[in-house]
Amino acid sequence: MDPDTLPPIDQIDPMRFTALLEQAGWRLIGGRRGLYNRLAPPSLADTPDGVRSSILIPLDRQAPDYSELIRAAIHEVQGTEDGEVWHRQILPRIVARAADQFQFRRQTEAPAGLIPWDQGEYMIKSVRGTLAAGAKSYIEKKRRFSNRLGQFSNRFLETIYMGQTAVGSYIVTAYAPTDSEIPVNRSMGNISPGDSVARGRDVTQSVSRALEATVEAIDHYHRTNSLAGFDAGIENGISHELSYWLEEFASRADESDIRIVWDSGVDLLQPPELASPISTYAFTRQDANILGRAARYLADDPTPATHEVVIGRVHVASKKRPGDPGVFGLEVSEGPVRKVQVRLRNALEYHRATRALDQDLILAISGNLERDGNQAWLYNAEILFETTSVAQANAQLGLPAPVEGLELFDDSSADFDR
Amino acid sequence: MPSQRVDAVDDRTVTAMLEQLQEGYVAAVAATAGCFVQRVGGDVNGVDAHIIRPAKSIGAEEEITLGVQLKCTTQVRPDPAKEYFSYQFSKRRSLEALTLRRSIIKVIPLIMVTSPQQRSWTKSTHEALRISHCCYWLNLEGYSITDGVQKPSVKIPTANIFDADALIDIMGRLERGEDL
Repeated sequence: MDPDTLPPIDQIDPMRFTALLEQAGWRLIGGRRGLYNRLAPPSLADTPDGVRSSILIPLDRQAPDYSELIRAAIHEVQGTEDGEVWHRQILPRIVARAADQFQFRRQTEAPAGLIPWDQGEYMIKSVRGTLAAGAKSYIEKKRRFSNRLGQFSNRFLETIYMGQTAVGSYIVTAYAPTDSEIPVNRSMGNISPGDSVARGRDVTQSVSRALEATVEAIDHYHRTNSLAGFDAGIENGISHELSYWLEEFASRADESDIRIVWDSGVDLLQPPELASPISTYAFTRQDANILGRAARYLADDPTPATHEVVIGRVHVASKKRPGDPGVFGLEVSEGPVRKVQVRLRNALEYHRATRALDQDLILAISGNLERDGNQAWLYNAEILFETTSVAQANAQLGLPAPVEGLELFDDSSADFDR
Repeated sequence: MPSQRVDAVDDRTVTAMLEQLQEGYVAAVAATAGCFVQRVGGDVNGVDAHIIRPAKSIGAEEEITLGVQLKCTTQVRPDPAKEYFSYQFSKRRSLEALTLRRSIIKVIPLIMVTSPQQRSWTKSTHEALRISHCCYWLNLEGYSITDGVQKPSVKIPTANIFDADALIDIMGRLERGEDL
């Protein structure tokens, strides 16, 4: 046993330890009131060997022998066939602080417990994006957030722990403490009386509601072939970002699901079926396609900030997967920004951008200009024409000779991580 | 656990066999007293096994557990005519673990004395299995160890034979919250 992997002994709640073992199939077979509980492992609970293979969990935390007995109990559980259960289910939740558990599961063709490297990286990013999008819906319901509420969602993510992966498929586990206090408008640790604060459980419930609304919207699509369910679900937390990251999560997997195991405070008086209610949201490969359509649909904000025409040179083009609409970067010669990343309305037009990149052509593009962090984006964009020089483009648009572009945004980053 | 000067069946395993002999002795006594014996894995502060008197019914909180540290020696042969015999711990740490104040599980040493002739440890007849020689118990909680002594000795009452009657009595005292 590596003691470095254990939380401090004084943070371990023996009643939680007992309850978590019971959830894992161990059976309470004896004990002494207020002193200790005795539990038998799942496979031996109903046999005489249950006592001989049992573990003793001390309850009196003030007792001088408490520490040695709780260490012995942990050592015993780690040494049983439930050692894996210890690492995945018990250790992360054994401390006194309650935490809801997210399990993002993907079933791929890779051997159990493994995932192709690039898919694993995408999966972690999609988990983060999903949690962030869901968290934002706690504060505000919005069709598309772009960069709004990014700091709040980051603060929520700061409270979350990533747990062990699990065998059987590939599972990313996240633990969201139920009682964490997340400032709505301030950085963590600077909470003053009167500040608006979100509780961890409430934010997790918002994530859950948004996922539930998404599943309902997908179901509605299956029945009607309409994205109207996504519109209707905005008031429950559906957004462009949530759909986008869920598509990332669900695509290229045979099946995938998100489970939320709600920490019930492990009240031993509750019946087992109520001890840890679980919410499950499942997605198929086909659902991923629907989510992709929904993400593009929701990206098209009916009340865009500004409609702009920009002229410039394509300096980079990227398409993550076949069938994706693709994104390209434009060094702007004429327009309100110096650089902008462009997402086309019509994916079939993407080849014009790559051709412009290859042949050093100048593009004139119209679209909805928005800011996302320090990046400028042109959404729902349309290539108006290609030409060989900025002067020609200006002339075609009836603009005067080129002038130096005005810089509205700090567009120093050319990050294509979207 | 001393194994020197033992006339062994196999020198390589004699120490493990001494342990096994004592485990068998303790298991037999515990069975006679209606108790389970559970080995404690790893080095848990000097506790080798738990003797468990189960609850009257499964789930009832009336169980009693006694921790024991097992010691087996061929070096001494107590004289029943004398009130005490002396036993020397090979490690001070083993005795220190027994002197700790405990309130959840009391821990006592069980010191088994056996023959240096391994082949004579047991003798079976139609009537009985005889195990040589005897196991003694002692409560050392709160016992004061002389400073600087690396192999401390303790005096063990020859009257403290560890048998089923003694175990039933010990369990009864623990249940009532009495001193051992």
